Amino acid sequence: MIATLTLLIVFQAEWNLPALYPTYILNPTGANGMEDYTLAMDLLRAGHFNAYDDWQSPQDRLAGPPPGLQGFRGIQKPIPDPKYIELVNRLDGLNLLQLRQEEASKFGKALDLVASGNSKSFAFVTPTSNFKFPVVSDVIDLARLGDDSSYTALSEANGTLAVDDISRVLVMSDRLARHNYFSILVSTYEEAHIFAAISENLNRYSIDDAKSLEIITDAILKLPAACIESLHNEMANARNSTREVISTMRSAAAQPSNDKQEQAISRMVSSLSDSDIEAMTQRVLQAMSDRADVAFARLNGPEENWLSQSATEDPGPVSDVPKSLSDLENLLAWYRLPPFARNASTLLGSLKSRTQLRLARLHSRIIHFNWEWGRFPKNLEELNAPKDYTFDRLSSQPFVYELTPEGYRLYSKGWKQSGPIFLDYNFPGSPRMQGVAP
Amino acid sequence: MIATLAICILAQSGSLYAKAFPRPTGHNGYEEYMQAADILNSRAYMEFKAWELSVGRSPGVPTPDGVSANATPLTIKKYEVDRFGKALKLLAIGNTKPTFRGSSQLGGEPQAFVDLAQLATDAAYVSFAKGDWSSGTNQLLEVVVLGDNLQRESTFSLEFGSQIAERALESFDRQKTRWSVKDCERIALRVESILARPNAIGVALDHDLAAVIPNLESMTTGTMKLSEDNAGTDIGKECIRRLNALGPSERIQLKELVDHRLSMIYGAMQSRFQGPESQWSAEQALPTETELSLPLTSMNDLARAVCLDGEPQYNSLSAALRIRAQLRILRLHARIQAYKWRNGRLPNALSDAATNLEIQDPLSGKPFLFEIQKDMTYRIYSDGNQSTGQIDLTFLPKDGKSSSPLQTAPTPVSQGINVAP
Repeated sequence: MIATLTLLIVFQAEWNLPALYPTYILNPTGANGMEDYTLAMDLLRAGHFNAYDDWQSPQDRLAGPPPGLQGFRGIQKPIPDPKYIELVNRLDGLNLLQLRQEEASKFGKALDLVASGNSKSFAFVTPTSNFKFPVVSDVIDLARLGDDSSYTALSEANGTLAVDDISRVLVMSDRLARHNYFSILVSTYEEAHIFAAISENLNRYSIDDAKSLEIITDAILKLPAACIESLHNEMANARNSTREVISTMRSAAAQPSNDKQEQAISRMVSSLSDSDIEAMTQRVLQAMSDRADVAFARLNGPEENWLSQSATEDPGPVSDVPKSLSDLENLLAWYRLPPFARNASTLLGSLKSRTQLRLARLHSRIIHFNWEWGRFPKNLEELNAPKDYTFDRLSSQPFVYELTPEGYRLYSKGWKQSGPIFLDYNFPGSPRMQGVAP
Repeated sequence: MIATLAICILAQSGSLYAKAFPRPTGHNGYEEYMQAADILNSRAYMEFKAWELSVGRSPGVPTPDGVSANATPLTIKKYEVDRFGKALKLLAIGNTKPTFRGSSQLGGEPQAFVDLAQLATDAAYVSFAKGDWSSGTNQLLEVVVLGDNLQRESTFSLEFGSQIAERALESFDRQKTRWSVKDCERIALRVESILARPNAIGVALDHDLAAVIPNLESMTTGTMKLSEDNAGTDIGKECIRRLNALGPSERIQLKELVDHRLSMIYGAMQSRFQGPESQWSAEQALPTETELSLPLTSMNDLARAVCLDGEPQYNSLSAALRIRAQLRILRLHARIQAYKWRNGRLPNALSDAATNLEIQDPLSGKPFLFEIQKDMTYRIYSDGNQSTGQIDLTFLPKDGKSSSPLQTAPTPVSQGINVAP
């Protein structure tokens, strides 16, 4: 999944990027946070944010400033905008902090727009129903900007601004995640940046910074989970478009095809009347609703059961080639379902983010405790935190807290496919040390 | 009950400041130090400390007004700073002026200075907890300067001043990953200015000698009445007995021997510490002498006995050398942390982050040692010399038992056997 997203990012990193706002926001109201988010993304595009981002790619960070555009990231790219070349050459002479300071100064307005968007109501608007929004790289760029701006603020001993920058993109990310399955994937990737930034700076946060972080993570966790809202949205879209999909299948049936599935479907639907199509649509919608109801019932139940064994056992259709109209309806109902309703394991990304939010909230309490008592708590019970803080719904047991010579480790045991989850979780098998005693 | 008794014993009657400076000039930072000491020598502060020490250990000690018996350590520190923080303002003012105690006798201030250093590190902690890194860093730097100024009083206070400064260094060590870029710059600048001052050991030797000469002169010329009761050792008692029996010509002979001996001892030391710092570790050999023992058979033995308490506190020298290495290590930490902010990673070598001069360790005669450890942590240390052993920013005694060298103030000592009539 991450590899796919990375490819998307790479190939969307254009040199002369068109503005998003006029494309997506056809009827601006000034009252929808999405308008501000889009403007923020446009600011990054217009200022060649990708030049700042490329400079900081892991390989460049390890090797020092990039030698120039030749072989940049090892990827052949089209000849870029001369202004971009000039910018990259100038950035070559900066160190990391200078680069991030310039970045924070140049693109700080974008984070203000994100904050402005966060203060408004939010509704997705897309020009067409199948339009993929948000654009992956733009959303992640905003997360990177928040991370970098936070770093700059901390280098200037401004913890308040550092947490504020991080919080802004965290809230935006949660709101964007509520659109559909794809947006959750994007937000999960975006949040990985934010959580890594928080993790890196935990021991730099003051009590007030920790309190702010706790408030923001707690507020997000108190909202209905993004995946539930996303499922509602996707089901509504699926219902609205199912009739059109079936009608399209009938009209496409006249086209010759070598595909066995298409041949089978053509045979079944080519002779259907309008009323047959309507009846079939109703049956498919009913089958979808039945399956979705199971998913909603599970998501409305305790979070620790979302990934239970029984919830992930729905095998779906036996064959991709329907033998009867009933088979076809089952097949349609299955494939038209959003991923969350088809297979509970697709919830893992969303649950991982929620787990990390809980970890961030718990870290905040530990930081606070540490300042208050001059030591780390002996165990999580000593925090006197609400039970919800210390219970890890993903693993259905308390978070793991271990004192170490350097500080402490806090993590979730995770789920079978995730491995242990730390605040700066990257991939299974890479647990990180957390916390340093002040 | 015990705590109350302790307060009565510890609390000094009268003002330390008034006793030490009956005619204050306003130009001597030590006057502010003593005013700060008065605040921390007050009954209110003693009661607070007694209560703080009793929290969670011995119930029954009255809780001061304005703080809860169940307060967290941070709340207690905040209360302490709110109530006694004026002492910190006085410390900061004192640090802006030249400082000199002007007497070899220390009164009740050593314990008060230990408390002052603790108050400042507590205030720094409170500032850090609030996210005010700049104030926290400044508070700790004021303690370092206090320690440096105290070092200059005498060779005895070399060790005491070092231990005061080490309180701040230990706190710096714990907080170093939190320093902002500006904190790093401020720390490096302040260390630079301290290291650039005339070296504390040389100044302390001058002060020692200035105090010792008149004392020993009054002893040898017989202008001071001496009692064997004032001597703490058999040699001291014998020395006083012999001094009281000397005739005029013998006194002249003794004075010449004492002057020669002082000149030899202090001359060798001054020469060592006025030379390049890289040679300070090399002890200059004095003429070999047998251990002084009873009876004191010759005038030379008597001169040696008279000079015993007039000699510099040799044991303090290694503390003074150590603190200079620690200050340099503090500066290197500041350079490393600034480098880390600027580059997002640790330097591969000290020379990537600091100048050639900064990475040289005069004490060991080699560059400071830099080891990168796991999780972006590292160690900077000096190999030290034979007397100090390896030196980190936080002082670890060779027995490794305590990371905090100064639990309480050392007992005030007097220079010379005759200074407490």
